[in-house]
Amino acid sequence: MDALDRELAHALAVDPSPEFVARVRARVANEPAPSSWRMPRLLMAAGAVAVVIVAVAVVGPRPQEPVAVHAVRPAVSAAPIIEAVPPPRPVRRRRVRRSPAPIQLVSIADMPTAPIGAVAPAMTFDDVVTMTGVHP
Amino acid sequence: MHELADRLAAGAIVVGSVDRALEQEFEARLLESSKLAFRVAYSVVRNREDAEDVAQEAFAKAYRSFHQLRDRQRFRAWLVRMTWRLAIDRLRSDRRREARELAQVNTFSEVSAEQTVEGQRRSVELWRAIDALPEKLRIVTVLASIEGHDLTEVAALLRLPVGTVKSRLFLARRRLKEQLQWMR
Repeated sequence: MDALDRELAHALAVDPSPEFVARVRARVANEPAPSSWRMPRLLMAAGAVAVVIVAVAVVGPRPQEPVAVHAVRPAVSAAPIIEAVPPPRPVRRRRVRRSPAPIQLVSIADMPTAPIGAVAPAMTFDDVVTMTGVHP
Repeated sequence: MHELADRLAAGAIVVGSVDRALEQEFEARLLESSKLAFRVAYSVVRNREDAEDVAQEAFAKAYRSFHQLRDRQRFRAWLVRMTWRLAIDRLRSDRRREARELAQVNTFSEVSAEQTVEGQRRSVELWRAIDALPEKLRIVTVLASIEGHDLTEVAALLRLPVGTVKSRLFLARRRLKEQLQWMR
């Protein structure tokens, strides 16, 4: 250490007052809680709640699904037959297609017939449409 | 339900203990670095009260960002840079700089009451020579003269390569010796 080093060290060998640290403590105590110290706290609390919710969802009691009982029909129907109970199917909304007009079915028996030997009147296309209600 | 409450309570205890641990760490950093911050500030503002104010402000800022500065070396490096910057800002913004410099001379007179007049003159000359250094050279000189920091420690505090610190210190010492007549 030469003379310059000694002079420099001497010039900077100045200590703060004894109350300095206490004043810093007081200043820091008056500081608002650092936001980033609060954030982990909030995150930890949120995380804990999330873990509890997930644990309850995974481990907790599940709603029991109805078990389908499939009975074996015996060869001889002496024993009472237990009907198979199919599991309830989820209700699905089906798309309903609307036809332009309802189709009326007419049985052949209801169709007008001509008496035997009579000359059958000539039926036009419109007659068929009127009779069957089917519009091609 | 009781189990959940117990777990949440345990979590609160953990959070509380984390806060206490952080507070304890900050207290440890404050105790070990208070002189460093004060001396860095003093090397710039050259007044005890101002230096304490600046160092106090630096610690308050460090407290706000302490979660990022828990590592000891990072904390000291950050503290040095922040204190230096705050001190420079304070010096520049102070319109009563001349009055402070006058007080500085009086402080030297008080501190070196037992010294000779020659010693006082040397101190004033030394500070003038330090003030005349470029900022890069000045902070290296100051840190190397505080608490016996070696080149590696100064490099860590300034986050510079050791070679850079060495060359800057060499330049600073050469300029100081050129300016200080009694060093020749």
